[in-house]
Amino acid sequence: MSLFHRVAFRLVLAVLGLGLVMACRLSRHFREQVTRTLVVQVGSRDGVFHHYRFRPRALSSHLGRASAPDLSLTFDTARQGWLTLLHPHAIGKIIEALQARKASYTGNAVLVLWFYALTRFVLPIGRTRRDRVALPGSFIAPNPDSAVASRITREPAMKELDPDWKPAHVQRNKMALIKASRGEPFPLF
Amino acid sequence: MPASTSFPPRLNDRARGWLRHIWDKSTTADDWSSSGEPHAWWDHTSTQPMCSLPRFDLHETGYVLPIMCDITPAWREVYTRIADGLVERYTTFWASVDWLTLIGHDPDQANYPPEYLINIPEHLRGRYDIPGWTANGVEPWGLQPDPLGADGNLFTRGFFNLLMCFYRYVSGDDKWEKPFQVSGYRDQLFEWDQPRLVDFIHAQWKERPQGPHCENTKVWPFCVSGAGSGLQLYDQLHGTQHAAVYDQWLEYAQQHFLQINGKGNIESFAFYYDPIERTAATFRDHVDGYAALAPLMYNLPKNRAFTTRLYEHAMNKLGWNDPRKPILELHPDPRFLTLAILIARELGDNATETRLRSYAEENYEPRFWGENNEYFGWWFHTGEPWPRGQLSSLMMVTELGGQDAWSRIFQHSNAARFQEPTLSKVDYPALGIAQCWNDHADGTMLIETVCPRSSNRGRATTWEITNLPNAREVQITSQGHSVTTINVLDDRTIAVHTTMDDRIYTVYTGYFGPESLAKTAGDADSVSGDAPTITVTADSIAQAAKSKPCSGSCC
Repeated sequence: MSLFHRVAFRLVLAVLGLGLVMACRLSRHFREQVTRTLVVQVGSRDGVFHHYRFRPRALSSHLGRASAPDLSLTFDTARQGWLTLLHPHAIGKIIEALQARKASYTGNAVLVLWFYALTRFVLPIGRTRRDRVALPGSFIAPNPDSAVASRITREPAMKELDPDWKPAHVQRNKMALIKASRGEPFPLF
Repeated sequence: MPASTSFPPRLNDRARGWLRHIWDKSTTADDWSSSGEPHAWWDHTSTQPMCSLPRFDLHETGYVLPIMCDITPAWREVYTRIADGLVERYTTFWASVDWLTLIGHDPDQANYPPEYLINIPEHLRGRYDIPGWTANGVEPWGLQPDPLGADGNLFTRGFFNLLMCFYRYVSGDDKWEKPFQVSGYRDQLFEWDQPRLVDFIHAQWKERPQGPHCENTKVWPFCVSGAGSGLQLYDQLHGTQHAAVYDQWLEYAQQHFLQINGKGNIESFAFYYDPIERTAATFRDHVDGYAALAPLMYNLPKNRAFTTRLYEHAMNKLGWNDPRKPILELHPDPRFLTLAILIARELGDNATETRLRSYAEENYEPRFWGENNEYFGWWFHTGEPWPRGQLSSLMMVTELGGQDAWSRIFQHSNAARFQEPTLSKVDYPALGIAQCWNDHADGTMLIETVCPRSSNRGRATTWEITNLPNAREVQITSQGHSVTTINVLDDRTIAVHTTMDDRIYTVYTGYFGPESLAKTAGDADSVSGDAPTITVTADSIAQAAKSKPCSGSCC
């Protein structure tokens, strides 16, 4: 029986890898989310391991262990692994397994959420989407009759920071958000 | 160890160490203009990308001040000075660097690292501005050069108002209720004062029950709640009625930002809502606990039932209240666990508080530093040259005062303290204060002085007590000795000449509370007793001044 589960887990991980590679080739939206070089590994203590190598706008899928994964998620058993990954609430199941000490991770756990969102391109269960109707009272355009309208100075829309305001450009480049978005290393918190 | 919650209240070593650090931060001049840069000790890194701005260090540093003020209500001058430095910086370019420089949509939308992307709804990733990118100038809002007078950017004006309320709370002073200039786009200046800002927040919110936009165009329960706390405290301090909009919004949030499953349990709580995209950003499954925790410290003083519900949801999802489960910080940001400690304490969930506090003690690197270890902060194993201001301040809030120390600020602010005898002109930071409060039953003031640097011990110093019912009736004892080196400066003020040391003073002030100002002279004799005269004399002070030259920061 355990052989069956190991085969099933290997199959799930390999098919997932194939699907991710295809999604990366076919979907610009997918590629827009693959921005850094990193390795995610998923496996089980009873011997199944698979890893996914990401680099900007590309990824590859590999059997076996990675040498230094940025995230390694290891289930106690292959059975638990494939059942969890195919569960509609896989994130919750992973966390429950971690809390029950039936799974463990090393590295950056935040990558689980990011990686899981990518898997929704392959397994379209539980994808997020825009609501059909906005929540009541949504404010989506300026109100010239607002009681505070006279306190808001409004100029025409601008697409970028005034190029002539040189000091502001210098200071903006020091912001953590700007540096991280441009690929500089940043602390996890 | 965390600050004592025993009575009489006292600032312990950690609290005084943190106060010492934020004193340096606030009173050391640095340039927050568009041509300058804040000192490196201002935290512009924590909780990326939404809070990694030095502005967040300003208002979050302010959170400890009213609680410290409640611990030493008769000594407030240092809190006032720190708060003033924080508020003043909030008017600058760097306080609004995001609104003033992140113009248009982010050209790097498709280049965010995975750690940032998780904060964006999955179907918008790669084509949506990251939280924190305020996007001033985008359609349909247009460019709005005033960072306070804007359709969006509530998270600047809301927390700014909260910080100004803290200034008023500790000082009793209306400085920031008078006009001041705020730096805007291209260094334009805009005139504001706190009442006008409060009116703006209130009027705008009244028109937008969903909540004003914190950036362009996201409604964040976290920042809307912070703005609500500011209105609540403003009302408390001024007797106004602005916070009703916050009550209405909390009702709205429960109706529309909470997702309830078929069993009646919370499924998710919106991290933020974008009305143009018609999308609520939520985290999947158990991770939603983080979104639920984010606004709770602001919700608690206003709606305890809702806070309790969200808190229990968060704890159950994250497993932090279950001793059988390991404490997992799936998101490594200590902000969330710190908030959980605070809420656990305020709600009286002692088991969870103890468990999480123990974890923080082991993992968040609480550490004293500096000459004589007079500074304290949490270093979080970052290896950085300064403790993280935002996160350390939140940790300090969890340790200060008693169970409801945070909530009480918003519900029972005690303005009477400004009419009571008050310790002032202390030579801080050379001489610190651990205790200072008026005992209405005995008509006394208790003062505990602390001299953190041994090189300052024995140095001459003078401090004053103001607001006395009758300055000539004051008698002071310290460790069983009468202090006679007292000058009466006027009917209500004395100066006390003494030396710096770790010492407890009992000052008979004759102040028995606001209703009994007249009850002074008759009781004075019974308090003074037969204590011998203290050995500190004018000569010994002069001698000490010669033999103990000022060193370090006292100069």
